[in-house]
Amino acid sequence: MLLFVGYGNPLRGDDGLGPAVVHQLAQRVQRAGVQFVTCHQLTPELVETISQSCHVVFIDAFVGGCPGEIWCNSIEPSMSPGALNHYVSPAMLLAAARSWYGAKTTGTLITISGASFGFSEQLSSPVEAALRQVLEWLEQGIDYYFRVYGLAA
Amino acid sequence: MSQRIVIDPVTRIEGHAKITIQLSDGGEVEDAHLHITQIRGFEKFVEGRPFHEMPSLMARICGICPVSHLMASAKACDALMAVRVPRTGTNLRRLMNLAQIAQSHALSFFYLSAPDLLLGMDAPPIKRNLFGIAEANPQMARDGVRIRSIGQQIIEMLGGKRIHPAWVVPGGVNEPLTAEKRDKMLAMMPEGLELALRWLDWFKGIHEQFHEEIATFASFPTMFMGLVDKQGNLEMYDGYLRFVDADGKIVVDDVPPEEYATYIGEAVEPYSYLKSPYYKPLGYPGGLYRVGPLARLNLVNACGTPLANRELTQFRARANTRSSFYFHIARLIEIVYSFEKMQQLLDDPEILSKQVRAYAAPNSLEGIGVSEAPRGTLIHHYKINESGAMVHANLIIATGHNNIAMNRGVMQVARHFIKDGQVNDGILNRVEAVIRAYDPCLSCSTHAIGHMPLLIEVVDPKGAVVAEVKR
Repeated sequence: MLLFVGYGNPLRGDDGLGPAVVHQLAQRVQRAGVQFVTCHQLTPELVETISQSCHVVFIDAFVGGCPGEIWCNSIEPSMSPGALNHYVSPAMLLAAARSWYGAKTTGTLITISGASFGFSEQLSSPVEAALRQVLEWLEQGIDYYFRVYGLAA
Repeated sequence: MSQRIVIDPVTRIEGHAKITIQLSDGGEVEDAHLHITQIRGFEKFVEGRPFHEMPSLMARICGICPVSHLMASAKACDALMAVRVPRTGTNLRRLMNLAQIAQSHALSFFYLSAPDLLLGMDAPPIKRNLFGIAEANPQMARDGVRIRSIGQQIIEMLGGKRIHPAWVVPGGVNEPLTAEKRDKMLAMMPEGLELALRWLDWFKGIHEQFHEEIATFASFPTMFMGLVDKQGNLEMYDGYLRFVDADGKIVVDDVPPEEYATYIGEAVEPYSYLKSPYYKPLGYPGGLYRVGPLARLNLVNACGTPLANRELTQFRARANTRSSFYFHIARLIEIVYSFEKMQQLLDDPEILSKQVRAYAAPNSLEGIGVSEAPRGTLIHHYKINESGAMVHANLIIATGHNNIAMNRGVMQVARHFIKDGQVNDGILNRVEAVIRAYDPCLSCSTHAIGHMPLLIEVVDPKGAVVAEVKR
């Protein structure tokens, strides 16, 4: 299974980017073998779903950088929990999927620099443009992921 | 020279809190307080809004227990409309409430408190979390995640989403249950029950090693309050208020929820935004009582399901049921109960009935809704004008009921463990753990943003802070 996780707060402007991308992607891609999850923040119970996936793409907004700038990195699984254990990182979730369930899930993190994180349900212009770009990439990239991970088309 | 210890923020709880511990010149604990330091204000800002918006609006109080607020709020609205909710509508609400209790209890036990129970109160703070648990016992982490996931999946199947589902509405629910979803839920029941029993057995096997914590974690006589059904059994959604004394003797029984104000008063303290409800006939603060899993199991005649009944009998025979340390075991028994009860509800063919909602305009200007949230009895009290707009709201949250007991619990544990002004991380963790046992949800009570920090302060007689722990 290929998993897309968009996280952030849709009531805080550009922080809602991750859920917006995944919502729109889910509308465009109606395909078996692909699952979509949106949430305000990452939590440990996502580990179970992640462990059932061959690859997970996390989409998040980023504070800093040039608004609309897109970053795409593969995730190195890593356990580095803090004391505030309601929040976890993509790296921790991947590491947990491996150590708790023996999964071999790999992951990619796509972040986009936001411009505004105030009270709003609107994305800023540069982030809206970046969202369209990321959607195009992901839609095209699904075929690639299916080939790489040997998923049934 | 006397000192003050400050724990700020308190960790592994739902919301922001601070603890201050006042020491004497001799280094002994003189006073201690739990401070809830932020305010939410829902009671005020809903004024003027249409009453039918309340379930969805009030659920926004909290991301952990929105379902609980949905229940109490919808019931208050039922009372405003003066309607009788169809039986299936009521049972579907019960189903969601039980799923909420199972998943919330799993969060409290496995994520927040199990690190202390599995790894020890003196374990390094960096290890005291779910990932530390997974390192020591991966099965425990997986099972905790799974129980929570089952509860959340049921909520999602019923309400369309895991957090803030809009399915519970005034008059019932807005969509009947399909056979396909019913079957999916039923398929998860045996697994949920098996996992809950596994960790209940585990806890029964290890709990006595915490004899010092059992003796000092808010281990004192208080009254207990909660809902019971007509037979006096455990009731999470409806029923009557019952107060029992510390020995389980019934003090007041069969109180219709709308008469709560006859028995419950609300006090305020200058050091906290959390109200301090008390049992009116005994006054404040003498009328302290506890609510939640431990209270419920201390006041019911029986749970009403076979396995939970068996566990309740064992619990009462073996445990010091006055100690708040046993909130943990009560929570696990209630997870067992929740899965058994959900199975019973889903086995009833009528659960698929299409009659799930009653419709009406407002027929009463005042409505009160009471249900059991994971943390205890939750009361929503609304008044509206002739147009159906809210003119008054009073919420008594489970965590508030426990406020006086939590403060006394902090005092008891601090006095026992802090000697000659000497503190270390393990001692301060025990001070936090007594609060954690209640699983307080401060976002519901007063708080603003969903991080969970904690602060402990030690203060000298002149008010100077001499020790401080921040996380």
